[in-house]
Amino acid sequence: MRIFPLNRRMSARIQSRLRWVDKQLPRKVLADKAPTLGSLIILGDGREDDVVCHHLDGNKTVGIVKSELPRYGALENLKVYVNEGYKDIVFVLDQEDDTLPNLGRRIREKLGEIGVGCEEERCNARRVVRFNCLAGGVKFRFVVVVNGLDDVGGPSHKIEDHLVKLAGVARPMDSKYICNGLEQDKKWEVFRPICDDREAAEMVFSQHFGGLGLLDC
Amino acid sequence: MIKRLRLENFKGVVEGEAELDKLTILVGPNNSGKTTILEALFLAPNPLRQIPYFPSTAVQLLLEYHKTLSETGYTFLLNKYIAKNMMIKVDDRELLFTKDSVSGIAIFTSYLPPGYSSTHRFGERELLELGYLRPDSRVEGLSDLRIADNTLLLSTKLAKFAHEYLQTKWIEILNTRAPALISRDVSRFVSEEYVNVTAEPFMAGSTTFYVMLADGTRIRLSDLGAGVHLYVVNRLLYEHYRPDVVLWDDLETHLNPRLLTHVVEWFADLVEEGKQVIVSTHSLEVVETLTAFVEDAAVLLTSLRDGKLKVRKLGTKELEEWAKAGIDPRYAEALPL
Repeated sequence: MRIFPLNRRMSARIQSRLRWVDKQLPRKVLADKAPTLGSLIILGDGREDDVVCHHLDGNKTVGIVKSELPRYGALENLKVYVNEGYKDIVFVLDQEDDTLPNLGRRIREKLGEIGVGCEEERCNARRVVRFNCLAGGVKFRFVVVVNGLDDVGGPSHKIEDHLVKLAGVARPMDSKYICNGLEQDKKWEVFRPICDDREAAEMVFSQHFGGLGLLDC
Repeated sequence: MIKRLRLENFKGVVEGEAELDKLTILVGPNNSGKTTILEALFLAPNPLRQIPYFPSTAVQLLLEYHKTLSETGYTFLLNKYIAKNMMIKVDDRELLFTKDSVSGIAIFTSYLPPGYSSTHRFGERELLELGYLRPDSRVEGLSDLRIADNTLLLSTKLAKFAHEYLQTKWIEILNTRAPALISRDVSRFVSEEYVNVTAEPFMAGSTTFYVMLADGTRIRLSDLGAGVHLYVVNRLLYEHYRPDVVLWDDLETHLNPRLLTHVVEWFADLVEEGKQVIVSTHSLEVVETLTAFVEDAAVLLTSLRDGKLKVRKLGTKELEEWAKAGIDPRYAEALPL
């Protein structure tokens, strides 16, 4: 999978960050041409470099976007994406200090608030929730991927849980704090195995692989 | 006002059409047909008509504009240089171009203005022969006829073709108040106070254009900042030529946001006067500024795939929704619809 950001700021930030790791990396991650698939990733939290955490096989392209509103607020714009023709949408957000059942409930509530009918599908992957949805007569698949690892970090779980685990510096404390304390070089070194070692990446980012695998790509 | 444009086999466009408004903003990736739309609209009233540039006919100006070496002839207008026929249609009036290996490209129109009768009949269709584009780059035909609202194409790359024209017409321009008004107008955006534009000797008897400062000092127009230079030239051209439709390619080029806002304000005045303005841009700042001044401005997203020009119209409400959703119209090629 390659990604095609839907705005300039996001595109520039991802590209500059990837170049920092490896000058060849942007070409492996970012698509030059627009996707032909109707699949979209919505980032609900964090910085744009989170996207590096997704499986990259370079063959298919999905759009990626970050809404003006964070977390559940990003869903306010869900119908805009659906109206533009996206049929497979993955929403990625940090767990933070919500429980997983509570997070799932809030997402269902939010979908209801914006007039999206949804039916939850069985999904065995932890931190992945999958819905079949209907909005304005249009059917689409909606997958929620929640960042965080049970055995890493403090009470609040987030994307940094995965990064510190991959860097081998996980401790029972706030992973963002550990991550921020890493030397810049080390911080970016973390991203290299994500691209170069699929097995290592899949172990640490199991919900991302699981969730994004549900996209039609 | 030109409401609709249809193209067939014109430059990179095999087929496509666009609906136009009083103020239309063309946005899209590189090579998506924006400039092609503007050039088609520039030719539409009559490719053989006199325009305020040197070369002095619309089609010859485009030839010079696109020339890289010493190429001659007008096959660059034809899709892939091999199409036999092409069409530019504005509203219900067609301009038809037919290539002939000996005489060049013949131009016909389906519009028969009062006093003109058809010269050719193709099946049921009666056409008027407008003229010829010859292989050696000469043009000949009915240069006075207009088959659509008169258009003027403005662009950074065209400014150099305006100087000679302005020089030849300087006495007509000088005796209007335009040079003084434009120089005072542009003074609002620079640190100096200009009071007039003049054409006077420079070195060894050569002539050049100057802006004149309040103390009588002259500065060559070409030594001003590129944005100020461009604005002065384009305003002079407009005031002299007074077209019905202003076409400006890559509006953001060289324009600081303050000057850009001023240009947009001028466009708003033109639209209020009943003129039509069509611009292309890669800048969201331009889109935001234009839509702020002219509420019912139309933003047209262009895309060109396999020669098919697709145009999607966006309203201001949709643009706002997209901004909130993180979708940049310049990346809209990625949207499935």
